[in-house]
Amino acid sequence: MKVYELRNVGYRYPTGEWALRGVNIEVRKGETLAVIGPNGAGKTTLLKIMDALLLPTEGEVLFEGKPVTEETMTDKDFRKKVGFLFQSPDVMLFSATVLDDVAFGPIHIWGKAEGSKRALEALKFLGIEGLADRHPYNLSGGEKKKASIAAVLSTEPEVLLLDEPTRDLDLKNRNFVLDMIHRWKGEGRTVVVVTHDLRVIRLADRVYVMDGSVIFEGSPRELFLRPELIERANLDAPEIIKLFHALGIHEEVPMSVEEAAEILIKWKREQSTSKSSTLKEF
Amino acid sequence: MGGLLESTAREVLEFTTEAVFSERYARKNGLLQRADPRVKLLSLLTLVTVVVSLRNIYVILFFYTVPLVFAFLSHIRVSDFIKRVWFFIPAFTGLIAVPSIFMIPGRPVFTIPFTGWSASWEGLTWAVLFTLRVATAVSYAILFTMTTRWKDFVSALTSLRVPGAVITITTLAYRYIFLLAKLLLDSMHARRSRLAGDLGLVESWKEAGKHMGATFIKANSLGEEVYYAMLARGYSNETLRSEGLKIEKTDYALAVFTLILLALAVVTTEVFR
Repeated sequence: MKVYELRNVGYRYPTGEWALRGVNIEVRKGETLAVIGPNGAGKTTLLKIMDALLLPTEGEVLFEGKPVTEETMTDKDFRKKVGFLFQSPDVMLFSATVLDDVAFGPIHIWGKAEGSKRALEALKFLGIEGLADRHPYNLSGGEKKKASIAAVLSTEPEVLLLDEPTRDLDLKNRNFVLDMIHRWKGEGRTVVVVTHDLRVIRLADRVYVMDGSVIFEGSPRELFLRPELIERANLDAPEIIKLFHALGIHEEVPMSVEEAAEILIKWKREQSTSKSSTLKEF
Repeated sequence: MGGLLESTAREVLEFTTEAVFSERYARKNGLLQRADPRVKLLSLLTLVTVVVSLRNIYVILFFYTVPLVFAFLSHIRVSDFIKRVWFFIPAFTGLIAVPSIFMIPGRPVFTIPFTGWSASWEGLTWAVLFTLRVATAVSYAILFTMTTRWKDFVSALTSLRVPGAVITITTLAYRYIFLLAKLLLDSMHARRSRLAGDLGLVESWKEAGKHMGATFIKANSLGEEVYYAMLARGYSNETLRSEGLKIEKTDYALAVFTLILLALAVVTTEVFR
């Protein structure tokens, strides 16, 4: 089942400049989709269009088969189903306490009593109930990110739109976000993530490379087989992939260290077999 | 001078952010925190109106002590409260009060050497009266903001049938000011970190102009982002229905006390006419 269908979508800024043109994307239920591309490629604009915060200048967006219109922007059912994690937690945290902030969405959807209950549950789920009464601006970067994740999760969305979720985080907090994405994937939620983080890309089922329009669609493995695309997306290829290219192994690309070890052992064996047969022939 | 200007602006920003948004006192279990926000809001409006119409210095002084007692009963540190009130007074009243000391004609008290400017007794009395009246009115307003959580204030506005558009604009402004204050502080720090020594007066004013322009542009896009973040989480320009507001004994007591003060103001105004 298709959750999103973007047909020939284009978006022009009020300045007249085009952010996106001719974008055709499909998102299927339960899949994790990574959107990558250089800065200014229109990735965040794309997420905003998918969250009905912006309407496309041209083309059409369908959510669960129905067109996204101006009414979708304030449609409670849509807001219940789709959660948007903004790149900057500062933009998302605007209330006097973390609890008020997390409760903002659920209260608008379910009312005060149910909303506050769900907000507390979300804080407990993330293990940050101790931050409930804290002022959002007194939190560390990692805490702010967790609070904004709680704010998104408090409405229990089926679809998660994540804008650079691991940006500016230390290793521990990055791992936390990666675990969350892994978990959502396991729970069958649909995740669309804009990222520059290769570890996030590895978690995706499919990848779109964008630069004003879609220039590649395929699996992460297919992407890593094409260094020119990685370069165009402004990504630094993983060291292990650089090693494989240096060794002239172009047919296979590992997605983990274990996989790399397996391929290398096989490759070494093939190398020595071909060497001994050449010697025999000689 | 540039440094003084910058540090004053920074202090004002830091103080405002802490004072307005922390809700530190609003979450305590004091007398006014327990009161219904609607009753508090109506009492506040009544008392501010009463205070600005007072003419006698002793009556104003009496009205000034009322919020101090309320602050104490609401578990607010009185020194904090006084500091918060008087922090804004010089800026707001100084511009009007100081020149009037010299402009209102009357019995001369002292003369500033080499200028020929003479302060009059009547001018001084007016300046003191004016400053005290503003301080008293501000005390009531600050007492209200310190003891009321923002969401309760919005609930009170809703149940008092204030138009939805006014509430939406107020809510957006409140949320947005958070970010704007932070943005201003951050850019001030960023500017300071790249500045060796102090700028001259003219240069610092030029820089302040540029700073304001840049902040305006940033603020514009930031405001849009905050609005999107609110929309993304189910906000649909509607004001939430107030829930859980109930008039109790404290509220009746507060209402009666406000009426007593109102009556007292009317009587004393007649007596000291």
